Amino acid sequence: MKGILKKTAMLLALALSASMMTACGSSGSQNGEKVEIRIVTSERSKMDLYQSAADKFNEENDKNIQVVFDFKADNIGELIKTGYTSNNAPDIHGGMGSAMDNLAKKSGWYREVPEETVAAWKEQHGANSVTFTGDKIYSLKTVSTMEGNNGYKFLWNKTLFAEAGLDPETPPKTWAEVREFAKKITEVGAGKKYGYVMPFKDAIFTRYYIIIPGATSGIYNADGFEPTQGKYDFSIYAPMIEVYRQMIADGSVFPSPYTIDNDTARAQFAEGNIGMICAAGWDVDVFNDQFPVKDEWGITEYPVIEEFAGGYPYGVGSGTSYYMSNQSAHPEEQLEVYTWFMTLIEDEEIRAAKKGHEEFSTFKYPIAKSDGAKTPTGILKIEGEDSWTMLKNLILSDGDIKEGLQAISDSYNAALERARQDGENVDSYIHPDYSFYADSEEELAAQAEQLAKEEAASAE
Amino acid sequence: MAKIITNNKRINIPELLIRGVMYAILLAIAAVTLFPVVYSLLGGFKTTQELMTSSSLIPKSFSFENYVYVWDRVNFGRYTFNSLVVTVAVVLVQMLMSTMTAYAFSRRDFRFKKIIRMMYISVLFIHAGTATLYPKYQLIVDMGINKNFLGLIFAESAAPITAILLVEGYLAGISKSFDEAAKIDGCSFVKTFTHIIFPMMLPVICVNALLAFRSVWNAYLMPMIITAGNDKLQLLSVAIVELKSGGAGMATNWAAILAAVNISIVPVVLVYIICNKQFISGVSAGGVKG
Repeated sequence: MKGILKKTAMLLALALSASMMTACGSSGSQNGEKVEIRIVTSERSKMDLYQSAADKFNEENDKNIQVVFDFKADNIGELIKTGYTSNNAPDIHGGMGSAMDNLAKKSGWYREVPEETVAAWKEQHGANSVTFTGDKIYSLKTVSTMEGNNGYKFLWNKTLFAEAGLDPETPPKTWAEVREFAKKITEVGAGKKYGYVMPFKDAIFTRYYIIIPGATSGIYNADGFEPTQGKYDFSIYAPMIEVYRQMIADGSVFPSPYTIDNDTARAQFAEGNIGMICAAGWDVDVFNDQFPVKDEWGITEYPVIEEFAGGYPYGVGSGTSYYMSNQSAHPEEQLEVYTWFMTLIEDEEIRAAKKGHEEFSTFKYPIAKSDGAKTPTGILKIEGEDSWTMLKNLILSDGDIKEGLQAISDSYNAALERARQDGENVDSYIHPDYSFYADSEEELAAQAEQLAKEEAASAE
Repeated sequence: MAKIITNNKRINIPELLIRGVMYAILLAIAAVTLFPVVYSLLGGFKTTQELMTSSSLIPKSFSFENYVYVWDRVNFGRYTFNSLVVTVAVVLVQMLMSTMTAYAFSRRDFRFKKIIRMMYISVLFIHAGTATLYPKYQLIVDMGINKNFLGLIFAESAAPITAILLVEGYLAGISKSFDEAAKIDGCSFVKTFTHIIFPMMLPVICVNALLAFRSVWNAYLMPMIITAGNDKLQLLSVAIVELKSGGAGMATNWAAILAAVNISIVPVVLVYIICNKQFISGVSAGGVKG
C-alpha cells in the first residue's frame, strides 16, 4: 500500500512538473509548426468578434499562423512598456496613451508600416486611412474606426420630456434651452430624476462635455492647443463653463458632478433618471447591449451657444490605434496579421439593428477634422494638475472663469516652452493656415452644398 | 448597585448595560466588516445596470448569468486551475524553506548566525517595494522561465520572515531532548528534522500554509507583469482586474467582476475551514515561547 502511494505521489509530482514546464507556456512556434502572433488589446467588448475571427483565421490561413488575443485592462500601457523594456513585447498591441506612445516612437519600439502596405491601404480606404506621426506612419486606421459609428451626439429621454410638459420630439437646440429643459425635468422629477448629468469624477470627461460639444458652436481647438499660433488658449471655452455653472446652481444636475463617473451616468440615463446626456459612438453598444434604455430616447446634434452658432459638429474616430512591435520574431507574419486585424468590423446587419447606429454614423453638418496629430500635449511635462482637472475644478468652484482659463493656458504654454528647451521639435506642431473644419473655404462650401442636397433629397 | 435576583441568580444591571453596549459595538464592527462580502455575494446576481442604479442590496432577480460569463466565456476555469497550481507549489516551497531556516536558526550554532539572522529580520523593517519588480522580472526572463509556471512560482516562493519567526517561536516550545534522543539513536541533523521535528510542527505549518495560501492566491503585481505576455498563464487575481477593461468607451462589467471575486474567495474559505482547528492552535502555540 505504502509503495503504491509513493508511486502515485511520484507520478503526480512528475505530471505537475511537466505541466509547469510546458502545459501553458508552449506555443506552436517552439515545435516548428505554428507561428504565434500575439495581439494585446483592451477592447474586451469586442471579444466575441475578435475571437471568432481569430478562430477562422487560424483555421484557414496557409502560413501556419496562430493568432492569439490577450484582453487587458486600463493598465495595458504599463504592461506593454514592461514588455518592451524586457524585449518581450507583444507582436501587435493597442495604443499606450499619447505620452507613452511618444516614448515608444522615440525609443524605436514601434515598427513603421511598410510603404507598399500604406499605399495599398490608402488605395483601398482613402488618403485619410493612415495616422501620421510627423512624416512616419506607425498605424493604419481600422475599418471599424472609418466605417463604424464614431461621432459625438446629444441624447435626450423622450419620456421624461413628456412628463415635464416638453415636446418629446423636440430636443434642445441651444445650451440655454438645455438649462431651461433640465430645470423643468428636475422639478417634475421630485428628487429622483434630473435634467442633466456631468460625470466629472474622472476629469477627462470635461473633454466630452466641454471641448467636443464646443465644436458645434465653433469654439473648438485641439484640446486647448491653437495650431495656427503654436500656443495653448483655453479662454474660448468660457461660455461652456458659464452654462454648466448655471445648471449646477439651478440644482438640475444629477448629484453629484464630483463623484459620479461615466458608467454610473450612463446606467442612470438608461434607467430613466436623467433627461439629457452627452454621448459618443461607442455608446450605441452601451445603450443597446450593456445598459438597455428603458424609456423612449432620441439622438441629436449637440446644442449650440447662441452667439457662437455657426460652427459644425466635431467628428473623430473613436477606435483604438494599433501598433506593431519592432521586437517581433516573425515580422512577415506580424504584418500579415496586422493588415487582417485592421479590417475586422462587426457585421453590418448587427450594427444596423442597433438603435443609434445610423445617427452616430451620419452628420447634419460638415465634420471637423481629426486633431490627433496636431496637439503637442503628449510631449509635455505638465507641472501640477492637467487641463481636464483644472477645467473640472473651474466648473465646480466659483472662481473667476477668465482667470481660471488663463491659468490653464499659462501652465500649458510654460510646459510647451520647457519642451522646446529640452530639444523637442515644438515648431512642427505650428500650422499657420490650419483649419479644423475643412482644408479650404472651397472644401467647406462643397461639403455644405453636398449635405444640403442630401437633406433636400431626403426631405422630398 | 442595582441588582435583580431571579431564580437565585443575581443580575448586575450596570454590568448588563456594559455588556449590551459591547455587543452593540461588536455587532456594528461585524456589520461593517461583513458588508462588502454580502454586497459582493449578492451583487454577483445582479446586472451591472441594477448594481449601479438600485440602492437595494437584494437583487430584483437572482441570475447566474455573470457566473456563466466569467467561468465559460472569460475562461475562469483555466485561471482557477493556474492559481491552484501556482499557489500549492509556492506554499510547499515556502513551508519547506521557512521550517528548514527556522530549525537551523533554532537548533544549530554556525558561523555568522547572528549576522544572517539579523539580515533576515531587517527585511521586516526595510521594504524595497516596487523597486525590486523590474530586476526580479528581468531575472525571470533571463532564466527563460517567464513563459511557464516556474516563473510565477519562483517570483512568489521567498518565505516571509514572519513565517520563519513563527516557526522559531513554535520550535522553542519543543524540548531539545527530542533532538538529543534522536542523536543518541543515530539520527543526523537533517534526519532529526525530517523524521522527528517536522511532524511535530504540523500546527504551525498549517498556520503558515494558510497565510501563504491567502497571500499567494491574492498576489497581483508580479503575476500581472509575468503573465502580461501570456494570457494562458494568467492567475485569478490578475484575471479579475483584467475584467475591468470593457474596451474603448464601454462600461465596466462590475457585476461580472463581483461574480469573479466570489469565485476566487471559495478556495481560500475552503482551505480555512479545513485548517481552522490547526490554525487556532498553531497561532497560540507559535506566539508564545515555551
